[in-house]
Amino acid sequence: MILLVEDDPDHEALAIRALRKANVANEIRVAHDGAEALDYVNGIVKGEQRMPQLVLLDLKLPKVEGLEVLRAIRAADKTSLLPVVILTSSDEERDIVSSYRLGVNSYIRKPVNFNDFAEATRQLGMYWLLLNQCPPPQ
Amino acid sequence: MGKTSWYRLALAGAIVIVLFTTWLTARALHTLIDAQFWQAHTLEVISQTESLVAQVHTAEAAARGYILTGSPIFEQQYAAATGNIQHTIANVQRLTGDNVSQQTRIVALRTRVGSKLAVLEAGIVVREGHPSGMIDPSLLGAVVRDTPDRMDSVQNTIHDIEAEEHRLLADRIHDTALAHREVWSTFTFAFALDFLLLIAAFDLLVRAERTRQRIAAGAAEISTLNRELTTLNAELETRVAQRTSELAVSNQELEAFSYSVSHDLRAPLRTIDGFSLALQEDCAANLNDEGRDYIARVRNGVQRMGMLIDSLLQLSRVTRSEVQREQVDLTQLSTLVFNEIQAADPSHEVAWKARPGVVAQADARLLRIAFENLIGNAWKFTEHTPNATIEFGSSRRDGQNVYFIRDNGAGFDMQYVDRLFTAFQRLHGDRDFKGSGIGLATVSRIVRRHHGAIWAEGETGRGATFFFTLDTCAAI
Repeated sequence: MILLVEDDPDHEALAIRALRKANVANEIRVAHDGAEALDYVNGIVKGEQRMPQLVLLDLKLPKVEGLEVLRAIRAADKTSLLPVVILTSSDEERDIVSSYRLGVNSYIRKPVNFNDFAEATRQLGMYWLLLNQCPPPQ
Repeated sequence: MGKTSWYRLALAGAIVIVLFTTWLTARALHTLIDAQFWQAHTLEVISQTESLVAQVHTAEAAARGYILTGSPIFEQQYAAATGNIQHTIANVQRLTGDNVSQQTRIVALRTRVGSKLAVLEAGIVVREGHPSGMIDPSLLGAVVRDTPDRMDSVQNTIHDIEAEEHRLLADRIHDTALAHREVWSTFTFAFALDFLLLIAAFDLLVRAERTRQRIAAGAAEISTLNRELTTLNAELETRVAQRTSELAVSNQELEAFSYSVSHDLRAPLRTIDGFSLALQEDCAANLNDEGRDYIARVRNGVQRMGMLIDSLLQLSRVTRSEVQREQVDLTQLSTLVFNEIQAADPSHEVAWKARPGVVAQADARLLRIAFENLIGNAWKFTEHTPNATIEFGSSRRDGQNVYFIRDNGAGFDMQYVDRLFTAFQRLHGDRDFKGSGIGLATVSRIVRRHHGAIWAEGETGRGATFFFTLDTCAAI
């Protein structure tokens, strides 16, 4: 299962299409803002929600910033090792640095050209869902 | 020599001069007093000598009176006159004690007066033998006979003495006059010298006072200036603090704006491009060639918009970020950038030449952006050039290191050289070469942030060279 945190429904649709095009068959759950994402993380901690294999996180989100969501994920024991990939439009240095400080696994800037994005998504799915050895569930 | 020791020397000189002139005056006065004393002395001798003549005459007259009358009054007169004569001779002898010739004359005078008085005494003795009545003239023969000769000899001697004293008097009057003149001249000289000294001292005093006043005026001016400077400084500091905080606020706003642009402006573009692609791929069956062409044009527009946004962001970032100087290997950096550009577009063949070992003190991140733009431009404008070459080099001009990127591509007309470095100014149409028109503005800003200069040389169809300097001295 992949948790996609994305507020823009267009981007959500495009991301899901790109993942499907890249032959990612995993279930995709979507959180539409930072608060919803935090709820989901809390649900995982309480055992009410399933642990995803990968979190795709946007930075600029309504209600709660993406970096806060990342901080919450890394703060909880249960989710501290969960692979998180930032997918964002920003290539501001401070965002990249803060993300890596908070322990993000990968930082990808969404290119305007959708071909490039589709290629990035394909590689992303291949790497994180197939090649990468995830940490054992806690 | 120090000023103080100079003053001490001048003071010692002045004291010596005053002492010397005082001594000169005192000496002249002393000579004058001496001369006057001797003049008075001579006059005294003369007066005494003259009174001696009268006394001798008085003695003779008294003696004759006695001899003629036997009156005791004349005898008394004679006794008084002889006493006076002895007294006066003794006086003159004492007064002329320093003069040997006068002394000799006085001894002679004493003898002659003695002999004269002896004749008179003889007459007196005759009278005493005959208390009353006439005396036999024969008895008085000696007195009568002798009288004129002896009197003459006495008078002659006195005259000699007097003559000598008159000669001395003349000498002494002359001496006195000389001494008098000397006193005057010495006094005038001393006065003139002292007066000059006084004037010099006064002049020094005036000058010292003027210097003191000038120093005081200068000090007052300096303190006024100092006060003004302090006030100005304080004002300036306040203003700088104000501007700095204003600048910080505007920087913050700019950053927020850029962040927003980077995030929000790109999001709809991605949507447009994403769905255009979806349309192209998923609904290809429903589209004819025209439709596909439109979609391609839409996507092309989106790409250009994205590129513009990225260039603008880069320009604003270059302005915002601080210049952090470090040792940068420009040869290595430019080669790295060239290799990246080549890797992204392997279809275009370009020869790369870089002068080895070019190093500068500069901000590596900013210089990388500059090279990306300069080499990117050269890459773009050599697209239609056979045997394309891009070169990085450096040279020294006016004691400064000048770096350049040269290509043999499309070049440009030198008449438009001024428009090269302004944002959104483009010398080539999009049909030939794609571009944002921001790249060279960004490079220019990077160079300016290094306190350097940038300029270009080119010729249409023969390539372009972009020169720039980095003021490395100012950084260290």
